Amino acid sequence: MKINPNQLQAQLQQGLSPVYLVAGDDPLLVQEARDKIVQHAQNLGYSERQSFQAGTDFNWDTLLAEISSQSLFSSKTIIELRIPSGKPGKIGSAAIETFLDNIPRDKMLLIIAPKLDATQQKTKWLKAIEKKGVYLPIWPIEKSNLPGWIKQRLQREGLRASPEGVGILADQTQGNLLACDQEITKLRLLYGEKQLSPEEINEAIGDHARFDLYQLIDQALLGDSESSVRILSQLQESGIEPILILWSITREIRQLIQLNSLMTRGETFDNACNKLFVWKTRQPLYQKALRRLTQPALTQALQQASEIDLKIKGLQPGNVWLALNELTLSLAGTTLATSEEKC
Amino acid sequence: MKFTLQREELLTPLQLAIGVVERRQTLPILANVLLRFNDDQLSVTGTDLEVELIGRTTLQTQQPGNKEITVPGRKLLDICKTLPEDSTLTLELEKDRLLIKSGRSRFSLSTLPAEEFPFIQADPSMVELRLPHSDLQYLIQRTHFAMAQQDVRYYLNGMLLEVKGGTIRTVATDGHRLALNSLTYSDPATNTQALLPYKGVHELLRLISSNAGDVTVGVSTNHIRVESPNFTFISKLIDGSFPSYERVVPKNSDKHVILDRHSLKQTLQRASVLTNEKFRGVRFHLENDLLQIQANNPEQEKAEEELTIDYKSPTCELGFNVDYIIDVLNTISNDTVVLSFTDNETGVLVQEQTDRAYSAFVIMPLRL
Repeated sequence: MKINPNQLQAQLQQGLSPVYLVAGDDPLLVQEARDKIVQHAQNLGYSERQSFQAGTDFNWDTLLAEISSQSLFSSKTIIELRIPSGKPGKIGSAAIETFLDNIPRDKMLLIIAPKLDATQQKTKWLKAIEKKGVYLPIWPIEKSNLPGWIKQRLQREGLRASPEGVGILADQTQGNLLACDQEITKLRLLYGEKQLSPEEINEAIGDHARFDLYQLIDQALLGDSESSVRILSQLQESGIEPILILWSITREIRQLIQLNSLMTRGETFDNACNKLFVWKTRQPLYQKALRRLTQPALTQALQQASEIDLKIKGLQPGNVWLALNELTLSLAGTTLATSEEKC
Repeated sequence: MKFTLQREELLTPLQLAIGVVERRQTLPILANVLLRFNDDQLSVTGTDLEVELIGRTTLQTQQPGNKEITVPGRKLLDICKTLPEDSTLTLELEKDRLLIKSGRSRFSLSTLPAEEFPFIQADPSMVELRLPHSDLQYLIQRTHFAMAQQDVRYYLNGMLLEVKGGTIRTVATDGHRLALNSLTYSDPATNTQALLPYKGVHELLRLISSNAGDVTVGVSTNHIRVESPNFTFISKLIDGSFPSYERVVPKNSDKHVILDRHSLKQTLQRASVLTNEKFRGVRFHLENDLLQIQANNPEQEKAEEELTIDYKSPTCELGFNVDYIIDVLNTISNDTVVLSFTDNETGVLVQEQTDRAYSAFVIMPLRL
């Protein structure tokens, strides 16, 4: 019998077949179908499990030996056979057919294979499986169906989201359902069961720490002192290493100094950016920063950075995060004057 | 610091301890054994972090002071083994090298500091047993072959040692066969259980086979310790529960086959030549005092044997893994064997009983 994933539950309710073949290329969907079958079998008393990996050096007699071996503890056994190539070969096909002709009543066979193409679907062993049991081909989810799938998943976790929010999830995880599933689980853990806004989804997706580190730099370059300080304190709470923050700020300061010195030698801003391979998207940020920061201010900032480096390494006393705060503000431009006054 | 001793004085404890030293290690110091000189005592310790073995010997000559050092175990063993018998060795520490001299041979071995040697930190024993070497050897010897090896059901990769109500019992099973042996134990109040890992069981069997006298067995939550004057054995225990083996031993078998152990063993050994390498299956056809044994392999080669037996029940067919039966026949000591069974879907039982010992071996038939 050939069924699709939606029919699996109903098929299992009708009674466990002695053999199942789950074939597909999406790891999540295949794993979920497999788990469902194993779970159902375990509820029916199949408490032992034998697992075989049918690679090139697999001895198919091992599978045949399962026909005759009986367990002392009189429990039922699930035999899980993974065929990573999807092609058991001549000996393997014969072994599967022999097994199917002699399935012991206390055992069931569960075969996991990748997607089988048209010629593979005509092979004798597959025909034999369709005759004795269930063939479950699993197709990947098309892009157009992905939002629907995500919506269903969200619902299952007790979450709701607008089409826009679902779209963000779909865009970020297309082609990787495993990641999509993890993001949805994460969303539920983060926010609990509720209606999600697109902003909340955006915030939760992706690598938090790295995302925000770049955001910190961007805000500082733009001269937004308020939000850069807020991001910095969030980073501190998330437990990021101060040396990483210092490294990325220092890199930006050096970049600005280089740009500045090229420009004082008469280059245009665009030319200077080209020489230093600055990405187009980042050019406006630097332009804005350079309008605000002078060469002495930048040198002063670099000096600050070197002192923070010593603080991080314990060679100079002082609060690292406070100093980082000051440096961020220097870069953002507003309070440089006051910190100079203090010195 | 210089120690003088006879070759045999070093070789004996070294051979006791070396069994646990693996040929490939995860840590360099695991390749080493710890030598400890203490007045006229020498002890040699080897470990693989799961099992720790200490071999001990008394030296003829008093040694100058105490010293601990670790040296590569297998190399030291190979040197000692190949030196002439009764030769005298001097061991001398030169910086981080151990200098071994004997006659005109000189060896310089690398060492690692004794402080780095990873002793197993065993908790104090909660229960202590005292029994003769021969008892422990008898129990392990007759049980160990049925242990599983590298089974996903990790609790089967070992042997259960159980003391309860005045009996001491060992049990092992791989899911297809089971071996159970018990002896009376002097103290009926003692009550304990320990699940020894596969490797530990084999090492312990090796140690007690080459010794005599009494041993002390100490069991704690996570460790077992077996002590005798010549050795100490410490092993971690398997953290899991052993299956309830008692329900596996069939109680009401109605058919009994009585046969001669030696002739059955020889017959099976011949038939096993032509069995399938994987199944090892042989077919028993039982019919009114006659046993026909059949084996065939994938090449369609065939073995047929006949044995006169004592069997009065209806005609019956059973399949077995031939190795399982031969293992049992090798273990039991009676000349006459009784196979008791009901049908081909329940275990076949072989029992042996003396005044203070009871053994049961259960084999699950193969489906034909």
